[in-house]
Amino acid sequence: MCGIFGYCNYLVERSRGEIIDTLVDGLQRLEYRGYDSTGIAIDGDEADSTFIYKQIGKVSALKEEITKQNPNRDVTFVSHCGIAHTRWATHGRPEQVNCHPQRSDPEDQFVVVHNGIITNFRELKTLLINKGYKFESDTDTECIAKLYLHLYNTNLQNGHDLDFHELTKLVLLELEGSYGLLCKSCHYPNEVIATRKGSPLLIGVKSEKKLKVDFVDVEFPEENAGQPEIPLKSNNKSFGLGPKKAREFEAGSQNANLLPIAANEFNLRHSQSRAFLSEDGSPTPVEFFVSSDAASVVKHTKKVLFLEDDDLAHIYDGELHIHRSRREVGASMTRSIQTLEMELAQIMKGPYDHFMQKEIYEQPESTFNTMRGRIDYENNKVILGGLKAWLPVVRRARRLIMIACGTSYHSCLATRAIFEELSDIPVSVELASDFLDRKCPVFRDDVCVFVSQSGETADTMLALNYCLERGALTVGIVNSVGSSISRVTHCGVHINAGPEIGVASTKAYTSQYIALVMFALSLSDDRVSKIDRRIEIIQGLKLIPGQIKQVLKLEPRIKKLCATELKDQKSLLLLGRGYQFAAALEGALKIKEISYMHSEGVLAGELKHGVLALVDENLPIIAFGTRDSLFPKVVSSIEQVTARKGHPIIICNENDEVWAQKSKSIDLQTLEVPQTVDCLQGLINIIPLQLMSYWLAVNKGIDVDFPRNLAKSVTVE
Amino acid sequence: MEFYLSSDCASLARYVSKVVYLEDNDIAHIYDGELHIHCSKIGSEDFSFRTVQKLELELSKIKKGPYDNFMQKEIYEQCETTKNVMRGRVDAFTNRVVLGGLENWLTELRRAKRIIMIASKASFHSCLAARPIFEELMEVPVNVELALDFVDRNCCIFRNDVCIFVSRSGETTDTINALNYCIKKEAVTIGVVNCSGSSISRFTHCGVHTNTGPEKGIATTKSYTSQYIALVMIALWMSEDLVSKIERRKEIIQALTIVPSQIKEVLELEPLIIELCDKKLKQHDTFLLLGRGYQFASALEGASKMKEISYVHSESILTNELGHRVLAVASDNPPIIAFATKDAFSPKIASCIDQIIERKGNPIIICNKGHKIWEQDKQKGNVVTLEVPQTVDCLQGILNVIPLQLISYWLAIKKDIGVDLPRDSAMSAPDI
Repeated sequence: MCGIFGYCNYLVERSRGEIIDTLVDGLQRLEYRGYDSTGIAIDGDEADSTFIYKQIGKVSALKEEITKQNPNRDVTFVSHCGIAHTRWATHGRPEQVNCHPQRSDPEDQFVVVHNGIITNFRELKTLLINKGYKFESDTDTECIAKLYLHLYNTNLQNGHDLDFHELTKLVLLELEGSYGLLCKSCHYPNEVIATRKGSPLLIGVKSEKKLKVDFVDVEFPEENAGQPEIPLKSNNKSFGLGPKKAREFEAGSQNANLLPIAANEFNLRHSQSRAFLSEDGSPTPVEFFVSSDAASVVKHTKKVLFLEDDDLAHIYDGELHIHRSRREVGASMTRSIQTLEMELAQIMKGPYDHFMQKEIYEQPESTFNTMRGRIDYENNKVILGGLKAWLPVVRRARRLIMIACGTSYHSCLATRAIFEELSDIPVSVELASDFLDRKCPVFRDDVCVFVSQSGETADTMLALNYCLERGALTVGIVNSVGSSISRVTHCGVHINAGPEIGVASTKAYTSQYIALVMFALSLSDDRVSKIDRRIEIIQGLKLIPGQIKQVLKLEPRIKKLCATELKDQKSLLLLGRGYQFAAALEGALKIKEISYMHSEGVLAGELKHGVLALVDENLPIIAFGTRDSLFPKVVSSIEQVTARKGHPIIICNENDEVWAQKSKSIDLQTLEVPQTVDCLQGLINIIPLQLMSYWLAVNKGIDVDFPRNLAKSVTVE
Repeated sequence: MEFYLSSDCASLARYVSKVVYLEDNDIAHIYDGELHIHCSKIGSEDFSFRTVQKLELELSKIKKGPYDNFMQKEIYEQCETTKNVMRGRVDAFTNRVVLGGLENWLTELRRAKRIIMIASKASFHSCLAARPIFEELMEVPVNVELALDFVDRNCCIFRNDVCIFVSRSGETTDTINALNYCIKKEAVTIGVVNCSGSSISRFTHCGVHTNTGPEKGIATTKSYTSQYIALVMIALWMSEDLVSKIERRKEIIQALTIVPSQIKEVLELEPLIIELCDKKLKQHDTFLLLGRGYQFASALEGASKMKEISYVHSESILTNELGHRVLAVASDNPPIIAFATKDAFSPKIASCIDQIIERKGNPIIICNKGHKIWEQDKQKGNVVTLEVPQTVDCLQGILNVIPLQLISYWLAIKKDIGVDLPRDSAMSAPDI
């Protein structure tokens, strides 16, 4: 949904212009995530002052706003922290006052950018208004900024000068919901706080010197000196007692420590991780990039660290400290620094007009990459390293539950039947949000498969945590290295599709489909009765990239169809049966999200249960009529359509006599695609629909890569 | 002697009350005032006789009465039909549910490792509506399957699976095919039907009759609510020996007893709905319906009714799937109808609806009486509310679907569509 970006430079001289450009460029790379307004916050001309620039619309509108405000770009900063945000409205419509960053007061004492939704913001807002705070916006984020100020002032009045991360802990105690949060304050110059719960957040590190260690220690508070619970509604007297007692305990604890070795060990680990940049402990020039997505960091550095839920990152004096906002038994003690593999060039459009078009045309390569090194066509074997150790457990599963949202859900539907056929294990396909709502029974001998292109989809993440709590084995099928789902599941498969920038998922769908088929094949490799079927499928997979290339040649024909038959239509019906039902649903979804046409995928045999009432000579209908065991029934359904003056577009196999004959006597058109194994045909059949969605949108003058109201990664539930 | 031959007993009711049902592969030969039944395949039948059964259909039940259309009559009959499905089965004093048709299979049913509910269209939606309460009360996995897709996929079925087949007519071809498949796999099968003597009621091991009475309108209305209640009763009955569910079962049983009168209350919304159809909805040909949790099924069923009867392209969406693409369509101002009755998901639903309002979606919200959260938006004209009584979350869908039935009906009337015989739909779908 929203995008967050922060940039901190320490002992690295940067002009204000360079800082602005870095922040704006970071937003540009997050723009696909949500874009109805943008903003940045940087240091002002006077000490302890802040400049905030924000504007409705795209990042380019923000650039214009900054140019108009004409800040002095030549002022240089040796150390500086700036934060930035691109917004997708959840509370308060897109208006300038609702843009982030949000501030605590007209003096900009605390400035916040925020991903997610604060579910108790109404109560907080009422409380803060009652304490005299005046709100400028309708956002839930402004509550956070004002809460910071309120807690800061209250503690100051009681004589407690809190550290920035200590203050943040108090703020977080009051928040319910999900958040990815950056905060900057004039009371803590050149410091920034980053914390997350449910929304992804990562930190990139850039320095001329080689990193000394590849991890950062998490700093836990002393056991008996944990932060006190200080409810906001308590009176001043009891409120003021907490921190003081905490310090007393801390002092006592130190005095009582009779184990010098343990103490030394603690100090050593502490200083070692904090000084991961420096050999001799001297200050080192360093830059930090905080972002909700690696795509905006990769240009600057490949060294990144992913925050976990409830992590609280405090960046100051060129150091990165990680605290926990609440303590957990068994929680990981370190956060590893990983190397991103994403190349900048991969993100750019190349010779195509839109990322979506580029990604559609990449499917011959992306499908090949999904299979590369994993399928042995000579010996008809499938090798999935990420699953290998777990396959015996999966084979003994009582049930397979596939859990996903949107397009990923359709890839599960597409492959469900082949899983059941090859493994003889019952398979459920669940929408993640519905699965959670129902609190579905999950047991230790269930295997749960989570499919997500970004690996960050909020509902899928929540469902994953739910299944982990119940002891199920969890498998992740994702396209992003280091994503939350890939790190939290027991095992998984990376689909290797490459970055997908276009909001509408295209190549990730086909890659997920293939990854799932390979998974099903792996499950069956010890079954004699499945040998012939497995060979058939594996050889069919081998041909898929070439066949997709062939289907892409239909583009001129499809472009013409979109300009004539389908132009100016408001509704569209897609019919599919068996394996092609998922293709119908996915095609309808693409058309809906990209060309804004109301389209619906229907199981062909369900026509007679009501849907046939819609059929007349005006309603465009697209039907999948490729060959498989259900072909005669599909033909029968389509005949019912044509008997009612419908004139469908049939996606059929090349040189199919049945459709050639029918097109002579009935008003219908055909799009011919190569024939492959029934369980793989959906990979071929979806391509014409992707192209159709694309050209319908282009012909309408719609911004294909950034459709309104949609985001690439749905990280709010 | 006179004989009447028919594919449906409705056309016989005015002439005779005694009937014989033919089985597959039967050949009936009528001559010299005699009826002879032969079998076209040797050994294909176990039964050597066909019983003469008595029809219970009353002619008067097939008349419209004071209503203009059968559909309207049947919508208004839901006060009585919901009462009838519970009559003699739900005891509010002892908080028990008695289902005679299932009694002999009690042991097998309670031993179930998995429950699979198989149906088509409106019956499929009643299964979706009841599914969460089955999972909650019985704590076993429940799959809901479209009959057609189920057969196409040759699903894995085992001996300790319990398969529930729901069909109004008891003759839906896809459902019968699925039933035959499950019997072959030795699963225990339950039929939930509205026609005694129908194929499904005769072939299943056991079942529950919904006692709804004849439904003449093509669009399923009263059958949906009756099926819903029948399924809830089955869940209550099967979970009777779980101590941990006593309070929940009691809560549901007490709520069931007042559902008929609550339906009567909802029907009082009709004037408001007529006005709404006139002013706001009539000119649109695309609708979005949003529901979450128990109300997802209500959204699906509502969308189905609107397609069948009003010929508008309506689609139901899980409310929290908004972020996954659907919101792109919302800003073109198709009418949006959202279910926002109180349950565990109310805060999240409110958040989603706020997002729609922010994009000038101007939704129609079906909410509970006395719900104040949208009062301000209502004053500003951003939303319209339809207020229904509040009941237990797993039964709320029975009340929530009725405004949608009325909307479908009145949209069709306003568009001058033949309500009882819409084009291209059939009461039973015996052919592929």
